[in-house]
Amino acid sequence: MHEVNGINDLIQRINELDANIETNSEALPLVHDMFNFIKDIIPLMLEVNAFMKDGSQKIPSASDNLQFVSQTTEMATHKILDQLEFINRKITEVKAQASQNNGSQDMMKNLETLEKKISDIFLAFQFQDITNQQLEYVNRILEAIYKKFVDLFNTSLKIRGRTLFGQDILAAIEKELQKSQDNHALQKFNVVTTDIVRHNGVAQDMIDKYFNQK
Amino acid sequence: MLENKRILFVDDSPTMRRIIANALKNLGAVRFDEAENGLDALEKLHENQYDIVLTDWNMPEMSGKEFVEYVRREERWRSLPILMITTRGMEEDVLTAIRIGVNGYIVKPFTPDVLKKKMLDLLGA
Repeated sequence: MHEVNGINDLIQRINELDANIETNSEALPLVHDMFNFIKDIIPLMLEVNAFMKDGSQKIPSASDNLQFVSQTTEMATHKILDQLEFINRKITEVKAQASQNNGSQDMMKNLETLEKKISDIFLAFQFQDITNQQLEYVNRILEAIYKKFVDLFNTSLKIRGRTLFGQDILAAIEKELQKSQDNHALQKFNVVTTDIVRHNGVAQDMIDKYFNQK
Repeated sequence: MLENKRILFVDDSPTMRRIIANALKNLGAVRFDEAENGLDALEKLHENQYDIVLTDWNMPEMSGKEFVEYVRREERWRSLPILMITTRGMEEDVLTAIRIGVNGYIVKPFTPDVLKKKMLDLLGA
């Protein structure tokens, strides 16, 4: 077998095989149909392979980002709850002082209203747990998709080892991928999936340093 | 009403535990313990006598569902009131909760009024 140089070369070889095959008239339509199917499926495999390669690299980073969002919102929530508890303690102190000093009923009423408002804010922070659980669910889906990508990749390696034709198809796909750096669809996918919230990036002092160097 | 009741609440989210603790305080409860999953809650149940348990559903280690199933298998806890407070709001979830022996069900986010009403109903107060 000579080396295949991309998809077109492979399809050309399939056409040659198709044209030269000798078989009885009953089997011929079926064999032609099979060759056509193989020609149709190859571009699809190319797309899937490109998507697998790019998508699977991005999933772990997207998953980390979601976990970071959860942790950050939880920390921020606790800081706010700390402050609310502090304010609550102060209100309790003021109420005690007011009652000792025969504070006005209006003042006591206002303090109770403040306590009620603080309690409402406390309760509103249930959103943090609710969104956290939703993010965790999305993360689990991402992890399942990632595992599927890895399985698909392993399956493609098995195809490579099993038949000479499989080896040729995968070699052709790899060559085609190298050629397709300017592939519009792939670029578009890359733009859409580019990480826009890069929290593990450069620290503020490094940013300042870069600006100072300008 | 709740001041002389001993309450155990179970939630893996530290935020939710603080929110529930705050809500219980505002409702007059003074004796309550918290657990971060079903296993932790079982330990507390073995150590103390509770009047009511409030539990989340989705938790690591041992979920609220597994926890309730375990509790209901034990004779001594068969009539312990259990109130589930969860984000799971599908009809099938509620039916599952009833089937495993949950006595009351609140979908998050909860309000103090609903929490109070459900707790008092279950405590027969």
